[in-house]
Amino acid sequence: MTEVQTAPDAGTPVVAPAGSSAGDRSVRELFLHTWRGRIGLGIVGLFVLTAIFGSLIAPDDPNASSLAVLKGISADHPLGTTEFGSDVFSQLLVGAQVSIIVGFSAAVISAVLGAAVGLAGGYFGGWTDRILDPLENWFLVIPTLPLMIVLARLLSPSLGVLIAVIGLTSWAGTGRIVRAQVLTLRERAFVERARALGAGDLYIIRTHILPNTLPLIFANTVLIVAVAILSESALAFLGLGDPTRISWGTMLENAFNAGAPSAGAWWYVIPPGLCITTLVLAVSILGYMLEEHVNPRLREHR
Amino acid sequence: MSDSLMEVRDLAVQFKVKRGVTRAVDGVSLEWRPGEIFGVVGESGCGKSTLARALLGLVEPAAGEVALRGNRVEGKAEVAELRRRVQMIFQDPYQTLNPRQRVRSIVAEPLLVQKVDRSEHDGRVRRALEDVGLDPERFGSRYPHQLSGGQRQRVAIAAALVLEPEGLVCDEPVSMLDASVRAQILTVLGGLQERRGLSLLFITHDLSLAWSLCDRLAVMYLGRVVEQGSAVDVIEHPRHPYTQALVDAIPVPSAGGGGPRELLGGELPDATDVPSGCRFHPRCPRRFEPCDRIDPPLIAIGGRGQAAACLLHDPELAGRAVEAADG
Amino acid sequence: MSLLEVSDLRVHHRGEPIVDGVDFELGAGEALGLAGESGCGKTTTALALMKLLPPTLKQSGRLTLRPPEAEEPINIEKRTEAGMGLVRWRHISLVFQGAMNSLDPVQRVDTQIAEAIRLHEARPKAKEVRERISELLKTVGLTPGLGRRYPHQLSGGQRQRMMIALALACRPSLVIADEPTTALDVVMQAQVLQLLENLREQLGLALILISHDLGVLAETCDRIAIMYAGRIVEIGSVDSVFGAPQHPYTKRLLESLPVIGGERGLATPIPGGPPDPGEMPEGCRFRPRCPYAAERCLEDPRLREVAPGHASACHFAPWSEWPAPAAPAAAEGKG
Repeated sequence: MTEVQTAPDAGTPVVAPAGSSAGDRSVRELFLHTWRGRIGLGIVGLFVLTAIFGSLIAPDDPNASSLAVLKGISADHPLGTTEFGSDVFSQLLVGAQVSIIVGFSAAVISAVLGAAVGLAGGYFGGWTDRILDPLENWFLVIPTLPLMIVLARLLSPSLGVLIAVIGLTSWAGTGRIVRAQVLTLRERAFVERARALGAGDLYIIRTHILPNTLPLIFANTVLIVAVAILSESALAFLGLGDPTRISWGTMLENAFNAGAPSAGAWWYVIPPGLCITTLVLAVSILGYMLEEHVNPRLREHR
Repeated sequence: MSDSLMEVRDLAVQFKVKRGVTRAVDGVSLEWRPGEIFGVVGESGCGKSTLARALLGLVEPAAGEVALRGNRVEGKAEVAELRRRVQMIFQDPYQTLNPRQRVRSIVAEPLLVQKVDRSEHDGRVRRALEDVGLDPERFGSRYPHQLSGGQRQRVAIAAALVLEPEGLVCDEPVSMLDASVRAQILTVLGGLQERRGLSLLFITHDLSLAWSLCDRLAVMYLGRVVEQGSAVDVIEHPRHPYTQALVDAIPVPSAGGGGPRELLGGELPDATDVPSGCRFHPRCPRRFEPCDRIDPPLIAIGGRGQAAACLLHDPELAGRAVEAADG
Repeated sequence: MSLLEVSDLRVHHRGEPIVDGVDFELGAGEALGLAGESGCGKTTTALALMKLLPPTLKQSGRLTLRPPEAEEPINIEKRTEAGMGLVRWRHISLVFQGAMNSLDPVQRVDTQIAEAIRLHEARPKAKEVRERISELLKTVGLTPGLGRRYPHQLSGGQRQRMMIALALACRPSLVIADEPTTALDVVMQAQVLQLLENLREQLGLALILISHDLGVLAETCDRIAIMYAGRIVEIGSVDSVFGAPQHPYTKRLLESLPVIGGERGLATPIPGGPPDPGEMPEGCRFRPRCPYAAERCLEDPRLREVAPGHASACHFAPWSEWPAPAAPAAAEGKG
């Protein structure tokens, strides 16, 4: 560390008057008054409602088997049937639950872990950072999917295990971003001022560091929701999902095992695939909008 | 000398860098008296800001001691006591305030940290804001980005005042502000010194400002005090060649400017590699034979407390050194 | 014939005036100081002269440059972006704020200077370019060997000198320097100012020096223009403006600066702060902060000559003496 002494940079006139840029809009305005925001929010909202009420509005028991095996679209079955004669549409509605639960829970775990590691490493530095930083890098560079597969295989598959596995393997990105932000915040004069007042580390983290990193953590977490939904689908597709629950991933797995694509049963393959893509896309739109909002450097080209 | 507010003796602060050890503060002794405005001046990199931080225990000194009212500051309890009685304001008003806190909670923060009874908060915050000329009603619930640079610095001062400290360390508090705003902030600080008997330690690179504001001052070069005394004596009759060069370099805002002058060559050396002998000798226009060998102490000149660390004022010491080398 | 003529220069940001009707002339080899506080429009004026404003700012007004090296006057306001490419650096160059840090960190500095020359001259010979660069470095007081270094291997003062060398690379007749010494310490600042002064003598360079530091301008310039809220409120020779200011703003600004050997202690500050571009006061823009404001000041004052070569935008100029100010018109923690 060298002496922190900046030369006087007095009287820097700003060419554009501050406080009038588009970026000063609130998040609420951002989401409700732009088309991107409305579409993203609308889709995510629809899927969340489906997750909550899906099992109530499903026309059939999604697990009920019948003799109408791999039948196409009909009045009874708006999206056809599975290889056991279950209703695809009902499975689709119920499946939303797993995606939403896994997506949001895993993202929360990932955010908490990433924020804790990033805050600790960035704020305390020294030995704490020397241990946490390589750990973070390690989680950042190892291929996540194989790690998830190994972990999920070692533990018996259940919803909780899925959430834990996805959460545990996806926090490193958040950690990185938080650590970088904390490193700059730590040198800001208001933190030094608090220290000069005699404030303790916990107080400084609580009132000065965390509130200034929260928007960043939040934006990043939304993006992780998308990653988590995809990961769950991938794991379920590979047969590592919760066997007691229907999810879009398990639907795809069953469809492939039953040879649906080669049998021309498109109604069994495309709807869950489309649901995954749409939800992930909508969540990503919101995530990127938030990220732009909290990170002015991404906003230059407005 | 227990009549000082704060005193440092042989203070040294060092930082490890890639190329070695930076001796940011390298053996400084000085005394900050109650009720006075004490100035520390020097170029950037001379160690004046580090000195201020060391005073408040924000950096760990490598050697020397710091005393508050004659009691040595060591250990947690003393540091906590010190931070209650001496506050600090910083250079950049855009950086010192947390952008997510309202003015009211920024000013109340010291009360919270020092666990002052909650019932007192409102009144004290209000008084502190009024003291710096901000209407508590109008400004209390604003965020920093809704304030101008001068207003932010006022808020920072209010937050420093709310604990009613005896001393205020000001690190370049106006160097980023415009002339008219600068005068406003200085008036606020000057008023506090007068009304409350607040002692100010004023760190600045601006010699004319130090001259007009301070009672006494110390000039720092490369981590060491090279001259000290009353502000008028030091600036109007500098006794150290470095102080002389600094005074000569000040641009004068008057008809005709400052006129022709002799300019100091070279640049401030790296504090990892302090020159031998007098640390100013490689740039000194008046250096003579033993200057590269003898590190001069502060030598008193006249009877009014002025002192300069220059061999020119102690020919005897210089002579002995030359003899010793010859013999 | 003057080198540069600026007439009714205006810059708007979403309809709000940042620069609001600036006129001045600059003679060949003359140094003009542009002074004022942040937000007064001095940097915006400088950028407008080179048409370097960001797209959100719209400029209007006539800008005529008559460089001795060009046959015809150049109407800057009519030039397209491509046309400006031929003017910038060749005729006018800029040393901007924080210039020290605007060198490309991964290129040797002489390569960067050579680039500037090659961009403006048709196929210069490599050997000539090399010679010119070492000549340039000598001009700014650097040893030519320093050209082979990377920016981080130079000190702050050396980098500032490099930026000045870069500005001189194509032998322009006008250099605009925006706060060139703000980040430097007094000793280094004095060195750089001395250099600028020498260069003007040697090269017959005209200089527009922008600074908030009136001392810097007094030391370096022939004439000085004081800007306030997007307008020039006073312009004249350094000696007459500093010796006998003719606008209350200049007067108060000068009083707020300590001059060693003068009166010690705190000056009475100017109350309040400069107006926002969206809420300009009616009439004289300094009126709400002016201790001498009167009814007449609700009328917009024009910049007019009040002494030979000395103009002021105050209804009451010329001021022969300054009466003790009455209570300030409005003041409430606006600073």
